Amino acid sequence: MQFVFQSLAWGFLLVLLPLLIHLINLVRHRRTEWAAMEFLLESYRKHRRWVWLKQALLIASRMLAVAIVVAMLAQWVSGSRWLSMVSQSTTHHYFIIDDSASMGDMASGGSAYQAALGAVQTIVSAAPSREGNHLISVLRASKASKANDPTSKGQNGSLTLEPTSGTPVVSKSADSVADLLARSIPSDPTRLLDKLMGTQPSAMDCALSDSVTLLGPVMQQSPSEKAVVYILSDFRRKDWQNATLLKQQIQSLPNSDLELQMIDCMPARHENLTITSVSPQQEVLVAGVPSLINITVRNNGTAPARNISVRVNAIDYGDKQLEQKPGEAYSGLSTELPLLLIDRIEPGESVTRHTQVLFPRSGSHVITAQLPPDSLQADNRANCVLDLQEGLQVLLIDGDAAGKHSFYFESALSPGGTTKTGLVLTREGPEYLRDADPEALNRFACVIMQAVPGLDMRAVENLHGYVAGGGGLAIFFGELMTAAEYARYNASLTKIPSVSEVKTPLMPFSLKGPAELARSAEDTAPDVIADNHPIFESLLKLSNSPFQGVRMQRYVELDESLFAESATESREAARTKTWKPVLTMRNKRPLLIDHSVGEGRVLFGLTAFDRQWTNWHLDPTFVVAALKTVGYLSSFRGMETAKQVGAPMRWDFSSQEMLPEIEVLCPSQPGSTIRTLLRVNARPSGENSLSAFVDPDSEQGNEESFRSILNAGVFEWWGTSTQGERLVRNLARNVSPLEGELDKIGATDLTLSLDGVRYSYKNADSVGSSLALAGFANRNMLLMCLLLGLLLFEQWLAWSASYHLPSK
Amino acid sequence: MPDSKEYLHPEAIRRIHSMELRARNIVEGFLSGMHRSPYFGQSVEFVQHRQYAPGDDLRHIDWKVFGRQDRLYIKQYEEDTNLRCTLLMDASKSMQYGRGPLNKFDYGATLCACLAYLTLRQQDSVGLTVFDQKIRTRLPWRSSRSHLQSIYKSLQNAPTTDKTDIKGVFREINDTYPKRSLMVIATDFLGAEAEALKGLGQLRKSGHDVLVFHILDDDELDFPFNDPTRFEGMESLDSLTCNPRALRDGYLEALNRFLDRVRHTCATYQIDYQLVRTSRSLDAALSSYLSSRMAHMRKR
Repeated sequence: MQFVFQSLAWGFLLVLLPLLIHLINLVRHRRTEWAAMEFLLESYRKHRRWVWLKQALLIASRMLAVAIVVAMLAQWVSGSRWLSMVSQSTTHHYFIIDDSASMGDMASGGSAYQAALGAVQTIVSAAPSREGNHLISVLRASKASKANDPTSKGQNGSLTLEPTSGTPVVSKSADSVADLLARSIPSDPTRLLDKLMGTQPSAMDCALSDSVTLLGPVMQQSPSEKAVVYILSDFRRKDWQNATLLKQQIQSLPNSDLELQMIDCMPARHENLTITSVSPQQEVLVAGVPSLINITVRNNGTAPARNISVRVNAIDYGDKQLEQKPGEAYSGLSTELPLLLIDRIEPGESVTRHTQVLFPRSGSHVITAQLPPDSLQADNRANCVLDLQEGLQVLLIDGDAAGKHSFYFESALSPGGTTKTGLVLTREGPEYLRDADPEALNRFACVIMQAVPGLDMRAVENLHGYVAGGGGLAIFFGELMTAAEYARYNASLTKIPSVSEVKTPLMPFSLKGPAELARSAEDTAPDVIADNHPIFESLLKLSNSPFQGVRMQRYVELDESLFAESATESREAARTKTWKPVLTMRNKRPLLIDHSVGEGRVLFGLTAFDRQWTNWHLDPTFVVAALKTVGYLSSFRGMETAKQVGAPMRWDFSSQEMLPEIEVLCPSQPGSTIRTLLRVNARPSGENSLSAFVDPDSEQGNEESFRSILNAGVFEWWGTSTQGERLVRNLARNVSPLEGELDKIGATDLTLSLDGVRYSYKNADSVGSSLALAGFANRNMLLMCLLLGLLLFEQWLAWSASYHLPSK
Repeated sequence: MPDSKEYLHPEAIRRIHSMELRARNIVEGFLSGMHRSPYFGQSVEFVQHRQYAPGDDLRHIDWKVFGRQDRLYIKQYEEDTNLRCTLLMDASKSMQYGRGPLNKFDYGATLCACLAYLTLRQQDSVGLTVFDQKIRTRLPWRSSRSHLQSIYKSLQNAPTTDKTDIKGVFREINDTYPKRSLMVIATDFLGAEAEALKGLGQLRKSGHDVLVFHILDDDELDFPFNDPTRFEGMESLDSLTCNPRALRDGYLEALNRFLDRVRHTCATYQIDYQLVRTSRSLDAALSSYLSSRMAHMRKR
């Protein structure tokens, strides 16, 4: 038991006083001779149990009354729920501060986050002048979100997934996450809040439910406290429209004496533009070859936006002599590209523009796009990283040893002369797929198979593993293939290798065999019709029917049952189907099928590039389609151009090529030009391989480092090769585009969203004027009532036991 | 002129130590406060006329005198002298209780002395028996004035040490006083209630008229104790330490049941019953005696 005035706890000895007085009274009795003894004894025999019971109750009630008075004076601050009713009440103020990127909105002068901190300060400052004991806990949503992030690393027995193995470990508690946890509020709380007042909103899109989850165990430890939970947020519709998880978490909080206050820190919605993505188009990305970068801007306001200019910068990291520049935004050589102009964006609409960028040398290059300043800065900037190599390895597997079938692909992908495609072609026979080491196969950005008569299971296993890991595979058939070879295809490619974790076969359908395409009565009708697909996107932009000159004579027919089924298949089956035709013929039969296997893709070309089958390989569209096919198939492998803030960052490399010491230059904080430098040591992650990762959890104690890791921008990872060369790899972390959606949820919708949860709702500005606030109600009144009730009971008992003298 | 009733109050009686003086003062005081009428005599021997006073029985008006003189006179007669009154005084230990001016025995003894004085003043004969467990004193009927001294002396010297055993006593009294008489009993009925009530029945069966003065102290009737008290039995070894207030209601219930039983038994045997508080004056007791005496005389 704990008391505010511990020395007064000795007063509990006074509870023995009523008992002592009773015993003394018994000893002090007078003696008298009595004639009518029989009546007295009769009365005693009849009433002695009741008399004894009432006397015992009377003494107990007097002792309890004394105990209550002493407990009140000593200010009992702990104990069980029931016992706490007789002590001074303790109120625990839990502040959950939404510090997501949208809280940096400056529309009302100061940021919404500053308004939230102001509300916290107002409430905490009012606490010491109120009755009872007040405790404070402060949780920021970004920290709680990282604590509950299953991809984050746990430190002191905490999180849920171990980064290397991905196996679940233990759950993190609020101790290591909270800015303040169960701290008593002093008479002058300024110093207590100093550190909190110096914080800034994060760049994360974080869920408030994670913070509420962490409160549960804290409340369980102190069931006797009155809990007041303040949720300070900007109440954006995207966060609160479907707050089912948050509602469940609130309802599962253990404290029944819970009061919930929603404090709105942002008064109204306003105009806002957001860069929702900066990403390269799905094509061959190599050094020395121009790349197209798509930049998408969304209008999250209520009125059309006009004449928007987007600044784009290309930062070249190709210089081998590059050095760290912590005082500048980027260490690379920045080049400003021409402004992108957008005439008009309707409210709620997005517009995408692309720009071309050329990096002559290999390296981890950066593209940044920036909108003109507005009240919410966080969503005005986005980055992407292009890890460009000198050349992209493409493996051609030809069923003909002389490479007869791959001739047209080789001509299209590597024409020679001054034309540079950036592709490095390697032609091999079918046996290479069987004999090759999986690691060797992974060197290739994509594999193109032509007229391969059949594959054995070893080759299928290798290919399946390659595609499931993100590789791209194109399969074209040829005139050499016989019916038996089609049957071998059906037998081998439709099987899922037993060793594979991906349960999708390389070929999800059966081949029937070659078929003739009947001549069309109308010469104007094209034989081939393209679907809207990245491969044909650029061709479709040039013409409605780019394949006007393409003629098809023969094709490989698929099993009819597939199409009979597809006519009646349910919507659910269509949704889960992993393949779709992207190029169809006049007779509605597919010519090119895109099939998803694991992380990668398989393209089935149901024809052979031979005059007896088609003339497409002689058409100019073939060259475009071939380059786009390689670009498309190679885009699923590895290149991490950008992710959202908070996503784990790691760099895997060979211990034989690089030293384990890594330096990370984090993006600078708003208002600062100096970038934080973190030093990490890579850990072994396998044989001859190391993994370096940055863990925000390990930096929780260092607010600046923690904020730097959870900042938006480009993180430069600097390493040193075993030859002594400096190497840099960039990782881009962007603010979630959803943070730019400033539409606020209405009071009615909020009530519906939190149906079943009792809460009050007020603006941050009105917090100071309504400080008849939660948790500040005087519980002494209740305590006094309890004591009064007890004394009344004692008097009634005394009267009932005839201890009161009869009125004269 | 002082009120004659003040002589009947226990506080006044307590100051008079001589039983003879007590009796005379009380009786004379009592009689002087009464109307002059009813209790003078019931025999046929005329004694004198007296002027009518309101309240006198109209049957005693001399109408002849009224016819002659147009004034109302009452005829008074000589009283019979052969009334036998037996006074039975309980001298058990319980009669010693009393925190007022007089304890129960003193009160009863004074009452008996007064009745003896009153009886002999009317030239009737009176006898006295003092008893507890057995008969301690027994005086036969006498009508001489000198008999009073013997009665006073017996009452003043009566020992009060033992328990009450009225049953055996009444059998002996029946044998001692074979002729019908007016039996006046002063007792508290404590200790031997059932035997005492049975003894009263025996007296009634023997033809005696019985007048019971049930003498109880205020404490016994009201139980006014407040502080923790150890009660020790006067006629038993029982004792009880308790908070009297907690037991008061139960005690009074038991006492009232006891009084109801005594009253009921007396009513059953046609016995005159008078509950007497030791704090009250004696006039009620004396009036009750005179009423019983008149009833007894009418039967004869």
